[in-house]
Amino acid sequence: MKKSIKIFIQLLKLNFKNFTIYRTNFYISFVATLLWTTAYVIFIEVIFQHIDTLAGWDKGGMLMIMSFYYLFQNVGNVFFRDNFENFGDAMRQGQLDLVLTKPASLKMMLFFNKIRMDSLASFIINIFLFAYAIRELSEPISIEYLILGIIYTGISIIFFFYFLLFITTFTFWFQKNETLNTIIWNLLQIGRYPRQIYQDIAKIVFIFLIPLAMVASLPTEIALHLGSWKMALYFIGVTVIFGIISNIFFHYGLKQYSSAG
Amino acid sequence: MEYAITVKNLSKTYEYHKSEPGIKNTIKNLFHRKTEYIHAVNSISFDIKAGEFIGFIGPNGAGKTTTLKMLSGILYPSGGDITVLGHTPWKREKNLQKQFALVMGQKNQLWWDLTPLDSFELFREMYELHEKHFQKNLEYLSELLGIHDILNIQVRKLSLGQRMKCELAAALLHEPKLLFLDEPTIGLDVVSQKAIRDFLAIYNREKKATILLTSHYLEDIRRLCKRVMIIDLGKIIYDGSYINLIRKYADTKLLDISLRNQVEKSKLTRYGELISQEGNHIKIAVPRKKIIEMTSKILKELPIDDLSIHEKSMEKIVREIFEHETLNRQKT
Repeated sequence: MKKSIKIFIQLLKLNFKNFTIYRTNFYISFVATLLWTTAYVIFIEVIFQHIDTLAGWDKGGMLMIMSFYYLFQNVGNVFFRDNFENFGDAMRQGQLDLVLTKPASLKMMLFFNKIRMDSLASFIINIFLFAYAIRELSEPISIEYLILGIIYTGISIIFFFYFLLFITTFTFWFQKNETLNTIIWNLLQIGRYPRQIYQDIAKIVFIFLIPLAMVASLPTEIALHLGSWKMALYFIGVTVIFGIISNIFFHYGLKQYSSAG
Repeated sequence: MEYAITVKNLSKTYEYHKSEPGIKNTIKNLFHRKTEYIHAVNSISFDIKAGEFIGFIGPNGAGKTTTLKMLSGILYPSGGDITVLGHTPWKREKNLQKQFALVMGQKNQLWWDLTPLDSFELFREMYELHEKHFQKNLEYLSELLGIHDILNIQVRKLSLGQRMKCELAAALLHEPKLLFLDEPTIGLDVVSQKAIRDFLAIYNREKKATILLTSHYLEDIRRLCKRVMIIDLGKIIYDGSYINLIRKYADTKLLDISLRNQVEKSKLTRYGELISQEGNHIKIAVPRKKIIEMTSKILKELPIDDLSIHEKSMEKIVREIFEHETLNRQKT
């Protein structure tokens, strides 16, 4: 574990050096995220001009879900999104070869290799969004529960990482993962709304089987002290199960790797 | 006897889908694809002693790289057993990974936009090298490879030869006992090829490292390896000393000559075996030992426009060994 942390710090350093070479991307990313976030905030403002609550959530609550969702998405974008997206190409071009011979955590070397420092700009906007959402809340928020919510976002990220790992493992058979990626990143949009809007089959699938609907909703519920402890425990359980299954599946998939050239 | 590598009945079969040309067939392939199998490595066995420097050669697609990839744990074999330094490579145990290195001439492990030194720092953490140990090895490798001045230059700004030297240094920072080299001199100019060769010879001698080298250049093998294994169509067709190989199958070099005017055939056969004569362009096979003597004679006696000396191609040697083996089998 100590070794992995040291390697991760080295990867951060190398990626930071890389970022300083192409730092224009930082500004582009800042502007792009600012535009997206503003558009979505306006969208929520418009909706709540017509309704008071959505599935039991008021405007402040919705903005909190959105803040936690962006926090969750930004971490994914910065640390592993590109690596998962490029996995198919890396596999087909045999770029996994040298990584497989290194005495380091394979998943770290494969999925945390390229860290998008330029996307760190999104976090600045995220902080402003949190501040705006907190201002719009009908009840004041306690700092302890807000931190707990942020910690829970960490669990959401771990869950999503293992979910991605599970899906990406199919690339060993399919050879290409573009379509899979598109499906996953579109499915992820499910997480930006309150989990209460999902009913019947959608509830079973996206809350209990693959709890994508909980990734932002649950941390928000925890941060606002809405008493979702059973769901919180359940979510940890599902994350552990996904972790175990994904790891086994990934190592089984690795046996199919045929390299190139 | 201490063996660094033991291989028994090793096989690797790849599955691939056959696609035929044309739109009609492309559409057909969407619904039904014909699966075929290729036996890249077909039940090979060999042992390598610790400290040996072995040349592993063969034509394109013979199974060299696939074998190296199985030895280094990248690929799972379809059958057979491998022991590398007492470990099974495809289990990818960290203890084994710290003892070997793989260098592939066509694949980079250095970060493209950063300096070699930046990447070395990452490897230092991976191999858990203490600062003193790291600095000592870096100093040794930089000195031997002559890369002191380029360690702080972006990798993408280095020449191919400089990059390969840095790739080698990166792979050897942890002083591996075993080194797998897949075409490390590919695409390099003659000077860089020689520099890499000289380095490998010294490294093998000083560190007593076991080295398995694949190369298309017979010159690499000639300069470095006492033992040679030749693989073709997934089978090892020769495993023995380099000297024996040359004596039996490549005892001649080829002189490729352009003449200013035509010369009689009878005059040309005095220098060696006339392989071909097309107008003023001739090819003569000359025994390896006589190459200097005959070349100077030709230069003096014939109206030379251009002359070049070639090694017998790998494909030709392999073909001859194959024919020889078949003939032997027929006799018995």
